[in-house]
Amino acid sequence: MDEVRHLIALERAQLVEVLPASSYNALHLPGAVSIPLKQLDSETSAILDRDRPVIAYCYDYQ
Amino acid sequence: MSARAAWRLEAIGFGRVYDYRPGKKDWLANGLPTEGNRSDQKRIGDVARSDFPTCLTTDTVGEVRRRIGLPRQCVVVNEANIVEGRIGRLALTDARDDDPIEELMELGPTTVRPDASIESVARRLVDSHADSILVTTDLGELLGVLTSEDAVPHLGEA
Repeated sequence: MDEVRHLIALERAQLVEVLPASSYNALHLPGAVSIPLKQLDSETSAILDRDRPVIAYCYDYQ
Repeated sequence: MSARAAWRLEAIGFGRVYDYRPGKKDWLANGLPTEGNRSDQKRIGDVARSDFPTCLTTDTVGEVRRRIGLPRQCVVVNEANIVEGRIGRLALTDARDDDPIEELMELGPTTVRPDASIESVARRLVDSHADSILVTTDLGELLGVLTSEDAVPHLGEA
């Protein structure tokens, strides 16, 4: 948790929620983008900045 | 799922990839802000009071009385703000000044997480005839106290 908040606040980390879009639409972390795992490839991830850290998350320890 | 996503992102060529394994559940359980269609639904963390009397496990009864008087209830925490117990007015009134709070407190009070629904916890307070319940993170850090006075108006909400 602390590391995640540090990365977001100080290193401009990008958040990626990899759950289905319906879950993302209901609730997601502030600033996160939605790229469901089934759709994660070089094309869909092109919206991410390769020069910044990326934090992937789902619901819990799935 | 996030672990597989992290591996995939590295394979695609991203240099700094992290896997937030505890995920959204952990974020919510710590009462942190969210976005989305349901983000404006009230959660316990939005209603819980943060100005509830607290004291330390290392305090004596005398120190508590001098500092905060005789509160109806006082949450006992350690130096890391982790909940250790509760102590009520009767116990504080009957004890001697040099009695350690740690020996008089009620151990292991019931707690709820800030992402729990107000309605379900309000029902729980009514059914147990309790006047309040402690709100903590999943690691036990005190975030606030939800009183029945604040929770009951939310009974029947979705």
